[in-house]
Amino acid sequence: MGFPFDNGGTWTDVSGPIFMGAGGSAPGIFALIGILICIVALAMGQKAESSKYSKHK
Amino acid sequence: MEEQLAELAAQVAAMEAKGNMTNTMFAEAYYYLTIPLMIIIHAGFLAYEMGASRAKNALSSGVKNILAFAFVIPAFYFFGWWVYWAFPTGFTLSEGPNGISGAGYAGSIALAWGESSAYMGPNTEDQIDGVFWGAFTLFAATTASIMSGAVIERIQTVGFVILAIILGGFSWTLAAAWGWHADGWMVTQWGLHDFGAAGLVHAVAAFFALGVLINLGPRIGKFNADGSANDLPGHNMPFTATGLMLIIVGFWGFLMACLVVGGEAWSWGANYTTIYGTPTNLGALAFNILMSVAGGIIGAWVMTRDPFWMMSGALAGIISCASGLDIYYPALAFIIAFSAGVLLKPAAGVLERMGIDDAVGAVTVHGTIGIYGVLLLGVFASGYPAGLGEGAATVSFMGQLVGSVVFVAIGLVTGYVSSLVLKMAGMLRVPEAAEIAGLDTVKVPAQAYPEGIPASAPAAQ
Repeated sequence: MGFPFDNGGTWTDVSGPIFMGAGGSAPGIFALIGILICIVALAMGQKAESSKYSKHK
Repeated sequence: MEEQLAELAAQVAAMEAKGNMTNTMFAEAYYYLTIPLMIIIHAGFLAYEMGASRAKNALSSGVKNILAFAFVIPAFYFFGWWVYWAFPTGFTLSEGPNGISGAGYAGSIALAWGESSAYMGPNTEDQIDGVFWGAFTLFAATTASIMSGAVIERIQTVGFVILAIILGGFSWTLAAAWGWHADGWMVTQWGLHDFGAAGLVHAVAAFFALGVLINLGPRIGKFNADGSANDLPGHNMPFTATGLMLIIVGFWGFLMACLVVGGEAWSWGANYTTIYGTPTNLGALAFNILMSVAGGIIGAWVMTRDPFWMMSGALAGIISCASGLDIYYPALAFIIAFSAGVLLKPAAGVLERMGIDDAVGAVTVHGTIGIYGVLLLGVFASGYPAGLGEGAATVSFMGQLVGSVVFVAIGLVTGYVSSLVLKMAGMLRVPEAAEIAGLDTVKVPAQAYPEGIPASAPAAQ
């Protein structure tokens, strides 16, 4: 992904967003993956929970 | 002479720049420190709810709290923060009079993608959005914890987490946009004043919980065939009482975060203000929080002599005064909090007689007392300007009543509808056999007390 500033690879005169992927599409991709992780985690949790309940009906 | 003056001017400018930077760093640190303080609220809710559960459900209740905390955080990052900035003027998503609201504004600062992402991550030119977001995220997580206690011992874990996401990411955030934002329509049009979020956090969360409880139903054994109620005591009262005290510690951070620090571009002026721009300071909070904690405990002690209700009374004391902690006279705060402590258990009894099994009294402590506090402010603070500057709406009983109705409606409707959908999907309540066996045995791969718990002395009659 690399250092997002074109100033010789130093922190000198760097200002503004400094996170990885700033100014590009990466934040949106990371956000989408994060949302999917939440959804999948809940789906897997629900599946596991249901299987536990099936033994106590 | 001119050279000396120029040198002096440069020195003054340098000192001013340093002073400004110190103020900026102070403001950033101020909100940053409210975050761990508010996490103490969640430590408190964790202990409180595990203690209030029977031993067979202790860890299951804890798992629920931990997951609510974990899922509300990304929910508030991905969409809750946007809701707060987009909705102040109502469902039109239009810009408000201060120009800091509406879909366009929210889309420019509160989305985790596109150009807006510059404000949603590390940024050397932005020392406030991260800590503001952090504080608001903890407000959101607090709403989920308020709901959590009411539904222990029979709700499904994932179903509960989904409800927590809806409450923390949307329901309370909508109420905050409308009543806790300078462009909020309830503030600009009705003069609503809810400084410490008695209505928009506590009551919204509590009435959301009530909506869930209607669909969830009572725990097995709570009510007899004739409608009379049985007491289902938790397994660890000391843990519960300590948890409540931790919640009160954390509320110092919560209420601290309700202030706007002065001297910054986003501030209302040079000194502390409320979120509405009206004047206040930390001294006001010190006076009124302490007096309201004391009043609540004493009121509940007079009525019950029970440590659970006494500590709940402390919480009720703060909540009853939260709307006006910025302007109450401390002795008046004490009186109001005392009355809240007295009202607490009888109000919980009313709910129980209606067939609602609120396991920890959350609907009463946060809902009934929250609305009581919002309305009382309309009595005592009537005529106070609700905003900064000329032409601001004034606080009135009618404005507080409108706010109360809206808070109750937001909580109750979203809680009822979302839990009804989960109920229809079979994701709300655990099966009867699982509830009887105990949820720890059914689904938690750990044991709360492998060496057992010694019985304590019997309660006084």
